[in-house]
Amino acid sequence: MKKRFLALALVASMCVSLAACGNSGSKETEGTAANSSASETTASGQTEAEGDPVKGGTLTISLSASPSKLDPIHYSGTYESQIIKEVCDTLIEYNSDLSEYVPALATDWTVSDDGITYVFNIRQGVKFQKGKYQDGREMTAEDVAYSLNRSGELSDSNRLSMLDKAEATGDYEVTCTLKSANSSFLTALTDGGNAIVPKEEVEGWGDDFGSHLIGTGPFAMESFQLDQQAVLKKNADYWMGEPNLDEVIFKVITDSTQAANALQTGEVDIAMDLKGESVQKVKDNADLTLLETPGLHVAYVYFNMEQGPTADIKVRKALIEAVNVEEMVSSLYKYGEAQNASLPLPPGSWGYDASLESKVPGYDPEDAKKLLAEAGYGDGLTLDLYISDTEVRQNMAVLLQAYWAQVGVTLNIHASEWGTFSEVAMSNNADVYGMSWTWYPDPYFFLNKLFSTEEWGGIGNGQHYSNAKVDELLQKALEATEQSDRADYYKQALALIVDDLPGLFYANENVIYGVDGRVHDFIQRADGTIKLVTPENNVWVTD
Amino acid sequence: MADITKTTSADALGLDAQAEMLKTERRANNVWNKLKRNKTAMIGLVIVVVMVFIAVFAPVLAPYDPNEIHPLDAFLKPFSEGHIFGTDQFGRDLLSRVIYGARVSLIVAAGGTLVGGVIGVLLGLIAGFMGGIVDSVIMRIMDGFLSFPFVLLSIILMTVLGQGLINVIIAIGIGNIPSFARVVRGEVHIVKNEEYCNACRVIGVSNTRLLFTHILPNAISPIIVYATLNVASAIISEAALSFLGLGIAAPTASWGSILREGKSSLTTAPFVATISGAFILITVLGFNLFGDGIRDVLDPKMKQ
Repeated sequence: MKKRFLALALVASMCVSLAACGNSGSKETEGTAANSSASETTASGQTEAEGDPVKGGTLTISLSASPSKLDPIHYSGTYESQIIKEVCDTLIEYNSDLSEYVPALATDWTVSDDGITYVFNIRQGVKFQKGKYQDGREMTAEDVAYSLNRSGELSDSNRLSMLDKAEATGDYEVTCTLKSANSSFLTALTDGGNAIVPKEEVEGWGDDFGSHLIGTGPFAMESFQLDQQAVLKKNADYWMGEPNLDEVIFKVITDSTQAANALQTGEVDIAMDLKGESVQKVKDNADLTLLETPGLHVAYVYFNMEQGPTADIKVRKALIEAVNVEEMVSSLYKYGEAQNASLPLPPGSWGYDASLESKVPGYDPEDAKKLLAEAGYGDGLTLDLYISDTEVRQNMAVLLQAYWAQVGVTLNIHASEWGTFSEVAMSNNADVYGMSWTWYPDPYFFLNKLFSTEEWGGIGNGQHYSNAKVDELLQKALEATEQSDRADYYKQALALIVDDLPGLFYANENVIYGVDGRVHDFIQRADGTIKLVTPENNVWVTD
Repeated sequence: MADITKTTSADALGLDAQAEMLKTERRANNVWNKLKRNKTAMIGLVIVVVMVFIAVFAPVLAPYDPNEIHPLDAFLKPFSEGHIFGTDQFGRDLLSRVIYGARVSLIVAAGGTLVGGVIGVLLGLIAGFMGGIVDSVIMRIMDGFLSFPFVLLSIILMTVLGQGLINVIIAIGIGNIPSFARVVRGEVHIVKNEEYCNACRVIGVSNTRLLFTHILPNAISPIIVYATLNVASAIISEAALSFLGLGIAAPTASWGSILREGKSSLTTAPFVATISGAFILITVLGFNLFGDGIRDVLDPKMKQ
């Protein structure tokens, strides 16, 4: 008896507290949906750098997922590469707006005419951080060759699969030979997965190397606690100059609301990957800055191209025409966290062709019904949708279900965690899949990965899209060396892909960070990577 | 002759009066009448009846299709035109969703209790009646079940079974089995040694017959009480599972799933979570008050 009343009292107090939330929040209810998405999108990608940089201090950054594998060849998520790229350096880097390569551990490089051989001059006098198996010795061409070969052979995600071999051809010169001409090689070298690491440490630690990562970067790994945090201390001998910060802490806070709360209380200084209401929370707080930049991101629904009703292009066209994309995006991203999309490539990629946008069928439910009837599904049709169980994906599924119901299509939603989802999506066992793709501005990382026949069975082309002409153009684009030629090929390929209606590409999500006012000289990048010390900036904090 | 007639009529009169008295007393002690005198129980009953009514007549009562989206009318505040409870993030009418949600929540709660009750009662009867090794085996298994926190057990089951109405009922039902078995076993232990049971054994009544026609009916009142109270906790379990995203598949509304959807808009549209939470609260309160009332009536020892 007592216990039950206690339980009742608890439920009652829960409801009272909910109601209390109701009161305090009621003034904000006016600034919802329509208002906020339209008005204030304060897109700025940088915090102020005025004043004299202050040395010292700690910067705390929240990560939206828990990093577990920090060995460059094993990492799988961007949240892991954030840490890797502070501890280690790559041969070359993108500049902060991702428009061109800048030298890092390589000072310059030459490419042979056939696009197969790359020769890199390695920076002199760069020292590794001190570790258990070496005491901060100089990085040499041997280390570069070792690291690249290691990634080429062992990378879990095939991050350097185009590399045949890398050799030290001088004290400070490395020659890389590719299996065949591949223009995405330089982009791949900017990836944290191809960072330069010392052989002694890798072999000394073995499988534990990830937890004791050593590189040449601006910060050295002090401690790493799984699911909790990674603490980095500054590398005073950094070749680019001494970092302003003494310490950087990456803290795992998976829930966006919690991350925003931690930012408000000062527990973290930078909250990554903000979503939904927390975006508004940060906007409303004068002490915080919301950094928002269009991401290299496409959210899409793709159809099974091989079997089932969606193998028929008429059905695919009908399904696309049944969805009011504009309405859907404004409903899913109420705080303007994304833009409407139509192509399988983000506008930030140099292969993007705005003239193709009009080729994607618009919202036309009447025509959709007609097409379905022509395809023999006048009496209705049942489809299975697979998604991972994140909130934004589930909301998308509910909307999709409602739109398709209007043209007589019944959609069964199957939401599961990422592992199960990716298994189904790679084996092409369902009709429709919902997911998103984000990578580098090089169209290779979108178009080849999503539409090349070679990628069948991968998570990108699990739908079994195949078009011989597209394959040919994608290959040509890889072999060409000039970016303008490559862009041309990609645009032609993109046009063919759009005609085949392989999916509904509905949104480009922004990269959104909340940043405390004490953080200075921080630059946000469209690929979502955080770089604290680059030729362009050196982050510092005030108290 | 005359004498006899006289006596008979006089006796008859006395008997009638007696019968009348007995009837009055019985009426007064009738379960229903006793229940009627218990005010809090009646409040509980009214709440339960109203909720069941809402659930049964959902299609008639709901002003809109609960799954009809109007993305441009998202988060309309309560008492907006045409939407007494406002709308949710997809512009779906919250009143309609809460009404249809009552259906799912009550079906799951009642179904889960029924599944757990039937299996649990059977196991409890067998364990209590057979005693010895059978008793030990069954009850140790039940203890094993109880050692998992209820929600954890349901989560494991839902992950294995997958989403869906029947699966939620099964998950909650299985979680309910052990406590039903315990309640029944204890009761059977008391009842099986009563005189009338011994009498039955003496005249050679079969075990099955003894169990189901004599022991079960005499052990039924704690089962009824426990089942009523259990519906309340099953409603909370369903809400918990839906809140964790393991309940009924979208877009079907249940109170828990509405609460879940409301969670992500607690500062901008607090009414979504508040309204569904309030319905859970009131219904759980109703079942608890009603269950307490029934217990007061059925258990003479509880009389003040």
